[in-house]
Amino acid sequence: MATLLVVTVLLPLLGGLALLLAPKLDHKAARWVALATTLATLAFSLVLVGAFQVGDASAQFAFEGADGHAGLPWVAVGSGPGIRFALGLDGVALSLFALTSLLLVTSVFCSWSSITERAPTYYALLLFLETGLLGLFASLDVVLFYIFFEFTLIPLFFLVGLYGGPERRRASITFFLYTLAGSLLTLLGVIALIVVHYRFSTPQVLTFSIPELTEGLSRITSADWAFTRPLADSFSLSQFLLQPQVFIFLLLFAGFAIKVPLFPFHTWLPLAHVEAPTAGSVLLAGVLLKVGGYGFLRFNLAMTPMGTAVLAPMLVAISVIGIIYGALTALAQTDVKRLVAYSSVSHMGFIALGLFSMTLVSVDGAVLQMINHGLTTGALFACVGVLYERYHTREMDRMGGIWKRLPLFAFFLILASMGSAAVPGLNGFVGEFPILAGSFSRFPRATVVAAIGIILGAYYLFLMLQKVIFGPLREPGGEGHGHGHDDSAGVPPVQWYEIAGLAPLLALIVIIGLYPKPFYDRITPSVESIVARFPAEGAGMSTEPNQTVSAPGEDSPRALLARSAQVTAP
Amino acid sequence: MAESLIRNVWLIPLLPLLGGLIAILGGRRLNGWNHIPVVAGIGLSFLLSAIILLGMEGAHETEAYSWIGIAPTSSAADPSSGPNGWSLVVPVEFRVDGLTIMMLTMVTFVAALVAVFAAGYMVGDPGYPRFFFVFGLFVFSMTGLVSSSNFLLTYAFWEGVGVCSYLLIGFWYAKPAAAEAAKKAFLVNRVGDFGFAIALFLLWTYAPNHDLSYANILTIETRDALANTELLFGQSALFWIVALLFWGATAKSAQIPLYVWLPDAMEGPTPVSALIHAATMVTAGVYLLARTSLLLAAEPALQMVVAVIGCATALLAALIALTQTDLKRVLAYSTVSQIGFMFMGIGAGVGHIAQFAIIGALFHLFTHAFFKALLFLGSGSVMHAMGGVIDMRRFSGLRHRMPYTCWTFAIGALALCGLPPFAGFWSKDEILASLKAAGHDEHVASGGVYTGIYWVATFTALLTAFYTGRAFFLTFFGPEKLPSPDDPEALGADDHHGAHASSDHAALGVDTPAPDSPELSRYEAAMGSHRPEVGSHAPGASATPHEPASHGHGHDDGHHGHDSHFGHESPPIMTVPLMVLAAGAVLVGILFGPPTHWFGHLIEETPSFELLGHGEHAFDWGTAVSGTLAGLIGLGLAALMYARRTEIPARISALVPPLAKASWNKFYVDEIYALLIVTPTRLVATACRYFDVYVVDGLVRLVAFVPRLIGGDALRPIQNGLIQSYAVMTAMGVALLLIVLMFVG
Repeated sequence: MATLLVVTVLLPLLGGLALLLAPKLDHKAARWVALATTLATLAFSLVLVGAFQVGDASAQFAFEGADGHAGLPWVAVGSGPGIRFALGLDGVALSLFALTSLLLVTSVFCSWSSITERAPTYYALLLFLETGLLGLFASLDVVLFYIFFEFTLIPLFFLVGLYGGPERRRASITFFLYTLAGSLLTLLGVIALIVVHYRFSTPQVLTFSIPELTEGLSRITSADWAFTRPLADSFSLSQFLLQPQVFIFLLLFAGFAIKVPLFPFHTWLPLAHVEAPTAGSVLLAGVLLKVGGYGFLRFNLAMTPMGTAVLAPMLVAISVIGIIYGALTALAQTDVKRLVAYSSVSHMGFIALGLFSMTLVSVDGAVLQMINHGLTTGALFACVGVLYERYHTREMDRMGGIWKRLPLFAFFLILASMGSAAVPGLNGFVGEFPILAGSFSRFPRATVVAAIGIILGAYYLFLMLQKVIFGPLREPGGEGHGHGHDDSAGVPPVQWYEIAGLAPLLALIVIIGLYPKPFYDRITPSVESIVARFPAEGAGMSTEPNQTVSAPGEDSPRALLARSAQVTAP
Repeated sequence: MAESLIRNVWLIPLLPLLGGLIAILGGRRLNGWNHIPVVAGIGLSFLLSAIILLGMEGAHETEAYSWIGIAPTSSAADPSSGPNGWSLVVPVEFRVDGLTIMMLTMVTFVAALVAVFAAGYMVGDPGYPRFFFVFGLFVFSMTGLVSSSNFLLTYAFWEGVGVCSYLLIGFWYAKPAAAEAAKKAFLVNRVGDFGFAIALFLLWTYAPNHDLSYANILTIETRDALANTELLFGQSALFWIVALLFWGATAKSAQIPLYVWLPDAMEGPTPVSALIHAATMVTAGVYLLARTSLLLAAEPALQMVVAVIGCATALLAALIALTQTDLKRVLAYSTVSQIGFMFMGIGAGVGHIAQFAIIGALFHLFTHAFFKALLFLGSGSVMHAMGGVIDMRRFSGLRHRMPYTCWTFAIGALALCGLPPFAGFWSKDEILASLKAAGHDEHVASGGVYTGIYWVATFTALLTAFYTGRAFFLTFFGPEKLPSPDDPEALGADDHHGAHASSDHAALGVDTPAPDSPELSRYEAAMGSHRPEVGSHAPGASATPHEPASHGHGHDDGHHGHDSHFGHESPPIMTVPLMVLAAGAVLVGILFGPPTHWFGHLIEETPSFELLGHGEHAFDWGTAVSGTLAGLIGLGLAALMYARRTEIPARISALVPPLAKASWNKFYVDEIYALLIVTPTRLVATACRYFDVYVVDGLVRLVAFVPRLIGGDALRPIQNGLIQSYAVMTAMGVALLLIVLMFVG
């Protein structure tokens, strides 16, 4: 199985190289090669899903090295295990891994007829991106993770920059620089973690392995953490900032917050989405944003739990602002794609809220919601692509009543919107409810505000439905002539490849909504091992660093909130 | 037999869903017989419910499967360690008890009849399979709602019925008014669901074991635990939970302040109005409050609020119904008003009459389903015969043309007026009696309020009888008149409709495309544009609906033998359900009500109901007489003013012009909401849109620009064109922004 995992990660890379090197492929041959590669990758990852041991929290499918460490030695550093080529999947990674391989198939179908120029390069870039994403989720080594993390930028940069809309250059450069800037800070944070671990672990080991780092860092006592602190006296803002876990948390946070994106760092997203080709948008929203959430979980929450606990009230505040702000901004959009892009900001706010509330239920919900958001938003972007290919506009004011022309499309759009609006029975609900219930138990007021986002979410999605598919038929092309019936010949019905791309997503939207238990069964143990590292009381660690984790047994949410507020207001 | 059925009670929701799935998957292959699987599925469900009803003893719960299961696996998670390790385990579980089985039987019975009616009503519509699919889906959600055994599942089905309502109100998707009404209904319900959801968060956080099942929460121990947890504003968790559940109920059951969606929901096909927006879904709020009456009974202040809100809603809706000319809207406001009566009953559940009052409210829910479904289907029959016209100014004197519809409608109207021995009399009387008893109970604080509510309710009963009589006489009495486009009223009606539509449109700030001609779109939307053949008609043909070719509800329905139902009685497939419901509207009150106490005994078999206060109740002749008198006076006035066309109504409205105008304009509530809520929201949204582009993104660009500015003067050598160095600079800028935003902003 370990070999299969490596093969699954590298297969798209091979497919992409083959596309690049093969002479004179036309777009038809190229798309079939791409489809075959993604389908094979999907099949392999489904085998992995089947082979996954439910109930095991640790990473599975990893090579057992000769020296007892996971993976193959790659770069030797000092006397320790060094940087290793270590791949493996735990429940959280497995879910995102499978989601990635599924959405890549959808992406190929989304590009089926729209990409005709330089098609081999395009599909090769898509496949490179797939390898980057799969490798990122499967990495058990921080350096490997970081390499994949940065590698994903390159194919996406070219996908947006070469195949995007009229402002594609500005969009791709903004996107590239913004995310790169953040991830450099993340790199600093990762290095800091490795150094701290090296200095305080006994015996001193220089390890780059994610599981070993997580485990080792959690064994460092708060006294040791406090020792790294330069100022030791009275509590002040600078001291607060320089608390090591807080500082490292913020470094790590920079890159992931931009990826997610959290509220003030989101402006690259609408631009990139609007300019990206449909497949780019599907992958951007479906998987790349999840990299941020995954990073939060893997690094911020797992490795700096005390920093998270200290900053949680502020992070929750940012998330809630993002939920409401994203929803309101989406409400005012006239371009469907921008609307869906801003809805991502709002939905990712929910996911961040779940993560930073640090309860098992909310973090579990957040992880499932990452999958859900990938499916619903992926489906929504694919639907927008269906529209754009027929009418070459995304302005909602110029269309209406599309239901009459494309009934199947209307069905797809309604189902995806309802999944996105968290209608029970569909996937959004079973993710959003645990998030909100869990975060309510810790941050009740913030959660009540966040719940307003559910109303607003329904508002912009149903407004979009009303404008696009309800009402008398109005098609952008036929407006000038005044007799809409005769222009219909140019609008083809929904094609087989569009159905093939959307149907699996919609089926999963329904299946997860009706029976989320298998998904939760795989996610919960891994999440639990992370949540177990949190201090039982959400905050209060920073003021008395020498105190041990167990604080006095007041567990009412309001008391917690009050206490954390003291911390944040110096 | 009954026992194995009780264990498999999940079949009752499932069968209609299966029927619906067959209906849509069969599509055109079923050749217009798509209604058969749905009718069969609902019918079977009714049979199963009836068998369980007869063979049931006590309450029973069954678990179908585990739905959401988030539970710590290791024993390391200590439940006392704060919310970190709490679990959320929600099975899909169903229950059988008195309340549930009463609702199940009623819902499936009415739904089966409405499905049969709809099979005739919807003939020839291209959305026929879709209609029956959503219909089946709705019955699935509604039966699931009343039989689910935990709060989260109830919430899920609660939203599920809302979605079906959305899909059915917007069934004729090409009609802008329908699309607008559908969205409005869903959003207003979401506002209510928001309250319901917060109540669930509270329950999950504070209830023992974080278990949302009814068996865990509806107990005295849990209630006391919740009552002893102090929360916001010095009120207990229990107070907020009950208040928020009530908030949710006001939206679903169309009470003040969230009733505004229901009248607009009449844009949907009439069978939908009959089933969803009269008989079943809108009573879900009453069901929820009755289900949680144990919690409610511990908060007398909130019970008072429930009763006052119910009373105010009943009165307001009755006042609006007085002047409306759209037959379906009269009935819609009447539904709002009658549910207000049910809320009054729930609110009167104080002291030792608690159980009696709750049963009274539920009995009204039960009888109301029969006679209101009957009235709506009757109006559907009229609409069918009038070619989609439902404005009472445009037709009259239909009693000779549509005898079955006329006399079944009359029975429904009498039941709604609350005259003995019709069903409505018995149930309304129980509510009035419990209000009166609550007012006279010395244990109840401020019983005077209940006495006040009692008199307002009796007055509302008079108004009810009046507007019901008015609708009946306007439609079926007076000179015979059929709608025609030459009718002077037609223009006025359409003008009103157009103005109404555009005011909604302005109100919600939605850029719905205006139809080219209101007249054309009205006919097309109501009658034709959803059928493919009309698309090829010249507009002129569509605008003359009395021509058989363009109205055509039944014209391809070969076995009726004539081209058109225009101006004629509806086919038997539609009138037979009317007659069955009419029989119900006469009989259910006597058979199940105070004469036999059968209904009361059934409901008493609900766990947690025996914990409510219950004392002896003799039949109160005082309320019976005053209630009947109110009904007779109202009906008599209506007969006097409308049985023959007189000048009295015009003179009365001329006497109090502002009041009549306010009633006609529905007291401007829609406009007030638009001004206070919708417009500000959209303004803020627009502000956010520009704020995002100019301020947030501007800030980011500024930060990215700073390094270049410095580099331009002093650090030109560093500006070497390598992307990495820009990146480092940007990184620093972003870090700065990050810190500034985190700690200053």
